[in-house]
Amino acid sequence: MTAEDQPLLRVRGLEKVFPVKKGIMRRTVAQVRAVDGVSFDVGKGEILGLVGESGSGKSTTGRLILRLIEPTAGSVELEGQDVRALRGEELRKTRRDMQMVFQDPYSSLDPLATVADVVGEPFQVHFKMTRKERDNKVVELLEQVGMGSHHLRRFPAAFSGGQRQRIAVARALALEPKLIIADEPVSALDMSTQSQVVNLLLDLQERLGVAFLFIAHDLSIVHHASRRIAVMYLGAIVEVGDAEEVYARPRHPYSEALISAIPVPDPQAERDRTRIVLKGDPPSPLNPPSGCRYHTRCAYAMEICNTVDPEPTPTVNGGTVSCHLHTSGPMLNGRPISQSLRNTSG
Amino acid sequence: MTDWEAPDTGVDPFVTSGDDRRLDATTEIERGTEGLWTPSSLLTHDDVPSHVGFWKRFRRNKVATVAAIYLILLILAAIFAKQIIPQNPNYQNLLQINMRPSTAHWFGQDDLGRDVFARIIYGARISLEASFLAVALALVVAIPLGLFAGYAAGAADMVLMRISDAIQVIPALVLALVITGILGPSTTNVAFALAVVFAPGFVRLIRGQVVSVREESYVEASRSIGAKPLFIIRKRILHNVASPLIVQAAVTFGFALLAEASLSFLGLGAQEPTASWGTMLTRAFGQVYQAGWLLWIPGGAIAITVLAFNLVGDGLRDALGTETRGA
Amino acid sequence: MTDVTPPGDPAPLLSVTDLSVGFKGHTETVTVVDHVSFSLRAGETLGIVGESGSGKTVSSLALLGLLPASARVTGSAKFDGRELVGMPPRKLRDVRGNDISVIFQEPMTSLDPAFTVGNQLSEAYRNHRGGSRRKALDRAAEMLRLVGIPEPQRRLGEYPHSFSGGMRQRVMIAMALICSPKLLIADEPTTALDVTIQSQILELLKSLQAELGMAMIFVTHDLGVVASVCDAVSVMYAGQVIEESPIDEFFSHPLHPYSAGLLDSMPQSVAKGERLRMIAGTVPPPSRFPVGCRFHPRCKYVVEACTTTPPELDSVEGDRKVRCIRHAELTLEVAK
Repeated sequence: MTAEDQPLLRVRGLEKVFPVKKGIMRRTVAQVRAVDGVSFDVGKGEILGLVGESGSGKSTTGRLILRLIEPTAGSVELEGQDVRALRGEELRKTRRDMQMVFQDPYSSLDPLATVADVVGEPFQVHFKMTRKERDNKVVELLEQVGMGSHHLRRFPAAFSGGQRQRIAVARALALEPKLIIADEPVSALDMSTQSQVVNLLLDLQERLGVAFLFIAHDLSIVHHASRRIAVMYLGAIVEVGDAEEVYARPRHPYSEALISAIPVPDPQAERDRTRIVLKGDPPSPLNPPSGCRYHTRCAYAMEICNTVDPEPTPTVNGGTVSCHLHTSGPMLNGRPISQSLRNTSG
Repeated sequence: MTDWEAPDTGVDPFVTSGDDRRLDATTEIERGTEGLWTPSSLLTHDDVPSHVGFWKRFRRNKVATVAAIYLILLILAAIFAKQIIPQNPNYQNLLQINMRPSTAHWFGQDDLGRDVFARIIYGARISLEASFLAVALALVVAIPLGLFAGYAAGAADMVLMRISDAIQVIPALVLALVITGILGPSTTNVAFALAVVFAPGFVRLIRGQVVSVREESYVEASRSIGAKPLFIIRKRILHNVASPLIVQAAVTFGFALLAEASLSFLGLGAQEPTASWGTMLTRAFGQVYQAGWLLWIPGGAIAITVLAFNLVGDGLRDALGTETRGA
Repeated sequence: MTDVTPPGDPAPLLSVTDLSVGFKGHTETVTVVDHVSFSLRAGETLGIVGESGSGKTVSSLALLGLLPASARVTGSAKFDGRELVGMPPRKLRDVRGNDISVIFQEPMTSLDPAFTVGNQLSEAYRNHRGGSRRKALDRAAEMLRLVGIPEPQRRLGEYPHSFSGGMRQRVMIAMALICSPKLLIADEPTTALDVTIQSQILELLKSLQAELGMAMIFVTHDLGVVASVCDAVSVMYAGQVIEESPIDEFFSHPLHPYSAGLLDSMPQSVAKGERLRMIAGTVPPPSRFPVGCRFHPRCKYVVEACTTTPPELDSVEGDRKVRCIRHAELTLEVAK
């Protein structure tokens, strides 16, 4: 990779182990590997969708990148600079370049602070500005997210969920970040406001060239908004690839099941299709399965899956998949499951 | 609860009666995710900021409002005692001792012929001053310690909490008695002793609040922006901790008043001839067979005032409780 | 479901007429549900769709008398020949959990953490059916097996916290079905669950319905869920039913601009890379429902008359209903 096409964000081997403590002495009795060796890149101005179910470690990954939680191992580089090595003032400065939008706009805005305070907070933290200057900036930001300046002195309780999320986005934009980590930004919103917020994010990406790490459990929205998708399961990325490719031709059995599980708004299609219903629950991250972490629920599990953790293998367009079906199974040529395995093995 | 005020927002009584446990889940409708209808969602779009609604909500509680008006009048009377009653409360008229209330002496005269009404007003000054001092001192110490313990967590938190445990193990009045005993009897010393007694409770309350507010995602949002801990504590945590603290302070104020009176009664606070409700009670106690009604006046003043502080505390809790939770 | 009861079937299991719910505030009474009507036959599944504040949850809770005492419920809800509105609480309690059951969104808060699952299940059974503890426990184990929980005998002795989210929702379903109700009201039963678990639960509910023949009311905001489980759908907006329709017709050509807007705003309806279609504005709070058509401030097709005349729920195309004065002239296409 040359210096020019160096990605904006490069994450390598990111790990987070949470100790489980018990008793008065707070002894560590077990460890949860919430994030277990995650690697990916986000290009400049790119939207990368990070999809997974609860407990997959997707939100933790977002927080590790921002160092809201300290990683146990691995590296996070923003434009070539190692974020993990930063201390004090330097870290605060770098945080300007990476901002976060949180899932629940009801708890991410201080209920006792006005819109001017919330959106103006980054200026208060990083710059010396008079209240007047700050308010002017806030009005500009509110306009960017499609809200009027008359909201300035209102409290969060006066707004609907969608409006609150706009306010939260305005706050994230204040410091002109290069990357916004959006952690389930629409899942707490009403359906008619979800698309408003998704469109807002797309507009911002286009207009301001901000890159997004779009963390969500809803594959249909992620697929729509992102250029590439990474699918996480139990702390690891099992498949990365072009959004269209992953959505239409999933190569990992888990991606396939996840896509199949989304109910589509078409009763005829719902009746016709055979849905892959996954057996059982996701295993506890306290005690992840040996070998491939997905093998306990996988319909195509082979013997090797019980013992050997599969390495990422390249697919098309720079995508990768971590599955033995593609290295030692019936899909050696890297074809999607829907095309090869289902027809051959029935 | 939320802006939506009906006192009966609990689920209907026959649901919570327990024989149909699964239906308790209706309490879920109060939780307020967007997908669910919540009573609060009725009015959350109001443009009225929550602190404007505060007085409205407080005034709705009639009993608390009456108690608050009483306390305000009492405090004003204590402050302007000299203007209201120019005569010296220690002025003795030995020709008129143990006199029942009259138009000239509303609350009568005590065993030295002093005007009891004047002494109650001047006594309020001493009692309120001591209570105020005690609560203020306790808060001055407790707020930084509580914020620190809650935000820093870890070892510092542990040590602070164990110290406060140790203090709270000793019954409040006994501890205050010991401290005043050591320092010597005076109003200031009583206030100081009470501050020591109250501080651990405040520290504990603040710490608990901070621990829960710290986990809110708006605090995480501030951190992600790059805000320093002091900024976060000042701008994000403190005001969200304020509501329960104000309530606790009001209730503690009442307790301080009672404790001050008790210590004065035992001779550890204000000293004769200075009028204080506690010393008046001691004095009246000596006359219990000659003029039993003299006991009722300082006793009643103490009881009513303590009650008023508690009622105001309750009113504040109901009116403020809605704010921290927001919509 | 494919086996829709023939429309000629005379006696609906549940028939709700002009159900209204108001809440008394300090200054005014706010009407949250306004003359809602729908009916449901045995074995049928009705989806009630709406956003927050649409009144969909309140309507279903009102049927069961599960609203706070400050709620004023009027109108009629005839279930199996009995009138539910105004029924004394004690009699209503006999209906609830017995003939009509409910499952809620959040399975953790619906189970009592202090009692074993077996205890709660068997109590639910004995409350209505009586009988011995032994028999009730057997029934509980049978229900757990039915909802696909492995080793039911052993799990009966466990407490709710040792069940995962999906498993807890299965326990809730088992509890709701233990008295073989004729109607199951499911209020966002899968919203708190992961998609793979959601599809398990939806499949389970569908197969249980086929097996037990009960009717279901599915309260949800997810049109995909409606498409996969319901026979008919009733769309609510700002406290009113604005469209009622069998699902195939609803998804192929919705009649109300709001329904069309919802379908259109799904990511599936536009090509990748395009902006999602959206409905401008937000749902008004009940204290500020607009005059005239309640949707008019957000409607693309608004005309002068919409701002003044409240539209009626008109019958069209036989079994469909729509509340829009322009429904005859509008052809609303939904992109596929």
